[in-house]
Amino acid sequence: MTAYILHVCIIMVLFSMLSLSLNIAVGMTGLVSLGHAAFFGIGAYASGLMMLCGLPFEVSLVLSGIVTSVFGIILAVPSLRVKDDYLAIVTLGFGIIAVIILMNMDITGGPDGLTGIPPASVFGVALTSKPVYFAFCSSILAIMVLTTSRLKASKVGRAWAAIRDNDTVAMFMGINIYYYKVLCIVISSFWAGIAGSLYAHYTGYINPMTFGMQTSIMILAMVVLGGIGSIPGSIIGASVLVLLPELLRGFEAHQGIFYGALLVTMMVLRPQGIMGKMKVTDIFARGS
Amino acid sequence: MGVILKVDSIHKSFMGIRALNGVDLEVEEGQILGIIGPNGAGKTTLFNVITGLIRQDLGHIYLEGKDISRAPIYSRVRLGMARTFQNLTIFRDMSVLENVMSGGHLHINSGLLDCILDSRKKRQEESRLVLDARALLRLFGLEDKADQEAINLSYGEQRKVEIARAVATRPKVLFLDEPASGMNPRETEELDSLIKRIRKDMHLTIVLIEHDMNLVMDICEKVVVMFEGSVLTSGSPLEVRNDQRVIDAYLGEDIV
Repeated sequence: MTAYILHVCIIMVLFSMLSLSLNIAVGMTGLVSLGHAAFFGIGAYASGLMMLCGLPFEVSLVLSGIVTSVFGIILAVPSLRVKDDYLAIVTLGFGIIAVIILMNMDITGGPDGLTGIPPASVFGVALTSKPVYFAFCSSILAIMVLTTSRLKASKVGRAWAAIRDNDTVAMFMGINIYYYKVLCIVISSFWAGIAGSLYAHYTGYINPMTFGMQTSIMILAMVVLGGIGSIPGSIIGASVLVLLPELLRGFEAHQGIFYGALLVTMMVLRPQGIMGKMKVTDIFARGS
Repeated sequence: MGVILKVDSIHKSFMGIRALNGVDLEVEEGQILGIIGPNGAGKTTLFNVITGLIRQDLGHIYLEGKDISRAPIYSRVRLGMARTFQNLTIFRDMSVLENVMSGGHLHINSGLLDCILDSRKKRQEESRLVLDARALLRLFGLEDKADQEAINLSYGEQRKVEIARAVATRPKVLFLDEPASGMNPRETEELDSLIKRIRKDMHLTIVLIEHDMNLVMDICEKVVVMFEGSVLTSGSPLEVRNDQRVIDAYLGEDIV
């Protein structure tokens, strides 16, 4: 039983990282991504492959974040040159393509995925036991929360907020909006990659379907539920949407109904999410 | 007092329609220059070209003698241009203070690492920025609203915050696009003295587009009249007001 609870907690922490990383893009900067799970997947595969090639965990963890950021740049540089609305479409396509590529490449193991990914160990200490791994993931989440809240309270955060609100006016504040948008995607994808790495070494087995559309939408739902732009909201949103299916295990057949009903009720009664200040429509339906 | 801004035969067409047809403009340092003209004369298009929001087809713009015709907006801002917009463009999710602070973006030198590590340099710069922003709000008579959500201010106050935010970039030339639009007479009167005060205190050159003739005649040293994408005439407010072409094109009979 304890093992099960710890498992749920670890998944909660990993999804908190994902929803917070997506919130940096969607909530803080107003860049809507519909393919965030692809970054999660790239991090997981990158880290898994690197460790299977013999790199130590510490190195592959950091490198997986960096590799994922590089993919973020490749995606962001062309699509951010055009209007914001295109980013949603580009990321949607990116998410689908990423899964197809993972599914069809030999080194990623095709549809069977990667197996036998070694568990994490830091400086010779194995992180195989669940409580230890939970503590490790939580401390990484803590670092992420700390750096994100510092960025949010700095000129970077103000620049992001200005871009989210009105990017034309942001330019006249002297903000190089292109730079700050790319920076945002780099940071957001970096953390998603780190979450992917932590996930891969936790389960020891990954397959492409984990990183598809459904997961992207799920992460977006966590952001919206928790609150657009809110750091604690990201964690609460992720926790609720990870816990809920576990609590409703007995009613598996009706889970979807409950899920949908929760989101609809939320949008009607509190469109800004549990912790958020902004309404979801401020981001998604704003005129350009 | 030299020429701070020189606009040299700007042409701009939108899908074959000539919005600007060889516009020349010279603005003296410290001047308040008003641009007037009927709707569709190309006033805002000229603003957009000068400030870099749209690229001219032909022509050059010089700020303090430097050719900035192809410079991106953020470098024009760095060189000393700031503007406001016709419509409300306040940052809705920020407090009044944060709105003004975002105008100080270029005056913070802390890098990304400083921000992540919350370095001493970053904290010092941030607290200086807060002080500067509060001082600016005091000048605008908004110091007691600093910590309110910007969206909760009255229309006239929001427009003032927009000007304060633009001034926070520490411009040399400030462009105001219809600053008095939608303001009641009392607010317009306040704006009148505010513009004069910021020009004096911040050593600004101000270019403004305005339809409120009382405001234009009162604060501008020079008035440029635009009509159908060209400069019809320019001169002192008095000269312009008595120019028969201006009366025909824009002012009408009854104002004289």
